[in-house]
Amino acid sequence: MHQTAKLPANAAMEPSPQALGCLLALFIGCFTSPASDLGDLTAQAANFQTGQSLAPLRTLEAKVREAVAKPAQRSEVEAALIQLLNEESTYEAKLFACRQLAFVASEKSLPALSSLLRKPDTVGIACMAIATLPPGKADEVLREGLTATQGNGKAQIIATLGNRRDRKALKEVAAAARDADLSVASAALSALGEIGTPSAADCLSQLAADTTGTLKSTVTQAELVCADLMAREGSRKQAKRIYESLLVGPQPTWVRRSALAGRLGVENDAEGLTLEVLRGSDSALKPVAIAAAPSLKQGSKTSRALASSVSFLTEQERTWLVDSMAARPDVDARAFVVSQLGCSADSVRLAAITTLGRSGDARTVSPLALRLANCSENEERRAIESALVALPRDLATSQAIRSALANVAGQPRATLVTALSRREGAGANPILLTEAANPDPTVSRAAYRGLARTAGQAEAPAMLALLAVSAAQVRTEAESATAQALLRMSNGSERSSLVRLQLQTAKDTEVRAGLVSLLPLGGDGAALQSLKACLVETDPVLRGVAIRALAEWPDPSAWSSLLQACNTSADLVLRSVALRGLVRLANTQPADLTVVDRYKQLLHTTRNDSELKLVLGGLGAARHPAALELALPYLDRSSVRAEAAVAIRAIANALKTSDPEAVDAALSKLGTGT
Amino acid sequence: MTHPRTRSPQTISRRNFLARSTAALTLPSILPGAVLGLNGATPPSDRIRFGAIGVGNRARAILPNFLSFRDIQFIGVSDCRADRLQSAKAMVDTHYGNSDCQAYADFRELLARPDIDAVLIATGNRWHGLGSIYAAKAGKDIYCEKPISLTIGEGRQLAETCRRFGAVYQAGTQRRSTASYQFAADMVRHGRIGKLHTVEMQVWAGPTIPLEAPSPVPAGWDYATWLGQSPWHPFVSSRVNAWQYFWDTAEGILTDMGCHYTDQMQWTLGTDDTGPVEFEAEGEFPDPAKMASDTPITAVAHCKYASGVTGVLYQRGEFKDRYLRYIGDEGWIQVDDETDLVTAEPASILSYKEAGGAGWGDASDHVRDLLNCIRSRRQPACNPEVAHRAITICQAWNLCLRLNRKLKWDPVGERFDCAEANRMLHREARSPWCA
Repeated sequence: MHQTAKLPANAAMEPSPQALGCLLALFIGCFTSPASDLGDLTAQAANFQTGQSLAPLRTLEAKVREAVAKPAQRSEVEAALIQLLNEESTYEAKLFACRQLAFVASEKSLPALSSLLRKPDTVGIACMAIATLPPGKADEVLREGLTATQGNGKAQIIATLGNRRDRKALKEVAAAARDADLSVASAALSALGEIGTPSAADCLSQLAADTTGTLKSTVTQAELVCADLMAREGSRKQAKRIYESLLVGPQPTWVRRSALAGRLGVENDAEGLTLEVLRGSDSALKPVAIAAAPSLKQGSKTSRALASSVSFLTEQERTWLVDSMAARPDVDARAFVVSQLGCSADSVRLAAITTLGRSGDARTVSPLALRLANCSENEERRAIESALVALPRDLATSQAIRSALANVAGQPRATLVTALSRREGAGANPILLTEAANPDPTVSRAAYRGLARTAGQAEAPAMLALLAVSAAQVRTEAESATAQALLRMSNGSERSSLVRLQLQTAKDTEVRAGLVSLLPLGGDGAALQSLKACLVETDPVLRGVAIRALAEWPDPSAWSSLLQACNTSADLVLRSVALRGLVRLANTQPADLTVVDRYKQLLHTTRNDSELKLVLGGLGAARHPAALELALPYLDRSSVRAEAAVAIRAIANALKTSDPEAVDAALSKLGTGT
Repeated sequence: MTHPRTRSPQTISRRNFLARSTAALTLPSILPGAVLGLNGATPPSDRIRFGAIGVGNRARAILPNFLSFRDIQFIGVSDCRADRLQSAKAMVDTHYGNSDCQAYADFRELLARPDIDAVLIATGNRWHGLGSIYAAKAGKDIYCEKPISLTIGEGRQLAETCRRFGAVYQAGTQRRSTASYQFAADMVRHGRIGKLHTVEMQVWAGPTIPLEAPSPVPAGWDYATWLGQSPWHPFVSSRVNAWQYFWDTAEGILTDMGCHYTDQMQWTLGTDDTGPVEFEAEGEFPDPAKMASDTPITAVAHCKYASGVTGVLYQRGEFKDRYLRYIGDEGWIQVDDETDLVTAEPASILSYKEAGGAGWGDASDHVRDLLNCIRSRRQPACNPEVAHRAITICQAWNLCLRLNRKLKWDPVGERFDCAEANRMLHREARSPWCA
């Protein structure tokens, strides 16, 4: 049983008021127990212990939710929750009450919560409830609680005061920062940071001078928090003072980095400070200054100044600067990034390429294409290709890439073709068809690879025609891409018709062979007739391709032709291809006597154990009693016994319910039972 | 001459990180480690030294992604369970072929080590936010598993702390670095499904955890640390083993898994620094007479952006049924999380997809993003602000469920239109875990 109303999966964003009313009623109603009276519920809840039914608590919780919507009931519900904070209630009951009070408590709850503050086991849950009350009385209660607690409980209250940024607690918290109990002192230092006022900063400054040991880093943490809060609230000078002190002292690297980032945020001359770091020798701080570059004052002057610092940077720092400059929108920043395409360092060039891809536009194509024409590394070429793909998918950019094609040849042209294909998908097919005919095999191959992903019915006729003129070096890609295009056509007869039409006019043997290999994709009677005609060709290449194509035929209509080819072929490789094709064809339809008969033919055709093993391997898929009988005699032939046994087990497993007697007989011959 | 044995629509396989256009679109200049000399024979002095906090099942699943990088080294592990601590140390030591990895029962000792630069936090959810805040304050960079916080307030505090302390932080919402999700986001951004109007997400229906009496804390457990900031509660075996389903220690499946998808939604919409303005959720809760868990079993949650785009998260069905679907006025595109399969209507959208790319189970690219950023002191793809905004959506839905009401949200001021909901933005942590 589950407890609330279930919304339909297609529930609208704004259900009708009636629907909402029903849901609310169901939600509340489901939680209603026989003891729906608030007093009874409170009494039950007060005794709740872990492991018992949660029903009283959930019912009370539902009433709290209801009271949220009906303020008139709120006071009554709050009183019930306060009652649960009594000494006699279990810890779990108090925990439940504090969870609920966290969002409905008023100042009326404070006396009861105050008493919980004074006990170590309940101070945590009391703070959970008090923390959500507005400033004022709640802070007073917390401050009063400070005087009555020690150790962990005191640390808890101090942390809550810190989270609430209670400025009135400054004196008590500052005193607690010198507490002998480290947990109290640590919480107090953190709270001073959270209070985040110039007065708190002064306290921290004094404490920083006096503190040693494990609390030293806590003071530093508090100072960084305090400085950030002051900077945000307008006390920039005081914040800057803290950052400066942390930058010059013997601080860990991370503190100096944080201080620099903070100081850049409050510094009037952030640009000057950034340049000072970039041109200095402190390598720990340089990454922070470089990362800050995008947020420095916008404009060409700043960008030029940043760019002029490049000679002070290591190769790795330079890659970061390239990245930062790409985030600056001005012309000089962009010019800097483009200039790095000519950098002698590989990593900097790659950074420039990648960032241009991310931030560039149509104007970026030209410098990338220029770099492409001059690069010799595959990795860089791939980076340029990806950058071109990543550029905005707008017309201007695509047009710019097409224009760039006019000026390049060879590998760079191939890269541009691939980029166009990846950017535009099927939209690039016309240009890919043009480039597929390019006499340069590198370019043609790239175009075919693109067509393999996107070409379909519209491109298939042209691609078949192109096969006739394709250079030998790209025939592999051309045939493969054409096959992919044909496969995307839904009508097999149309595929067949297109291939046969081309076959009628093709003269070259290699071209004809390529077309014949595509006939199985048509797979209709006419295609099969064309294929059979090729079996009597005098050219052995064409005959071989025809047998291979028959072996790929999608249905058993090719059976007799393939069986004949298998039996008559003098080429052992082709015979093997044909036999494998026959085994595959035998299993393309549900097992019946026809299928078993085909296996009989195959077993009769085999000439050696190797072929017999191949056929027995397929026979296991013929789930028919007659197939079982066909396999059994081979158990007596030691050289193929293992294959026969596997086939028998497979068939037997499939027939164990439909034909248990035959299965038992077969398995007993195997030496095992069902 | 070719004689292809089998032919089916396919694309040319190329798995090359630089070849991923969407990665280039969204991440800072990520260069192969080899180019930077980072993944070869990196001298020990230049390695990023890591510690792991919380080394249970999730840590053991993701640690190999870290250990595959040779420019880092794990030198410490920490867990409040002795059994897990020792097995994690053994795993790390076995990888490096030494016994240098130190084991700490108290993570604060690990954080106090000045030679540790960064931490992997893979604790239970109750420790994600607070543990990260501790780490940032100790000057460490962070990879933290999701969800990044228990409350909206804690998420904001985490983002502020990382900014104040300059901590580089990557949330474990690694689908931003996964090819299938990058592709889907890219297609939506480029208008391939027309004008986006709905983002549909599905996580699985949560289990229910039966009532059970308390039992003694097992030997080798530091239960007080395990509980962390959560209110103290007697040790109950089933509760501890299924902490995801209790409000005290987590926020249910809607948040636990939902944050992956809200992160994707935010990313695709380009709303990483803001969020929706309206929330609504209804759920089906466990029977309190029999069950101890208190987070929903099933739920349907809606949110609406100022742009009019609607997000819908279903918590229903089985684990394997989870998905993310973008729906536009000209089509849709969907990623099935279980299989990493991308489907679309019109199917021609898929012609833009490059083959290859690891699924979400391989977080290596996401980890590499963090490592690059640790060196360059930039924020990674799933930095705390981004992660906070994504988890806020799930946390707002949970508040709708817990308050049984619709909520309006001001993503600038990060306040609801409801006083009670605002009071639940933050939950006071239990001492001594009050960072």
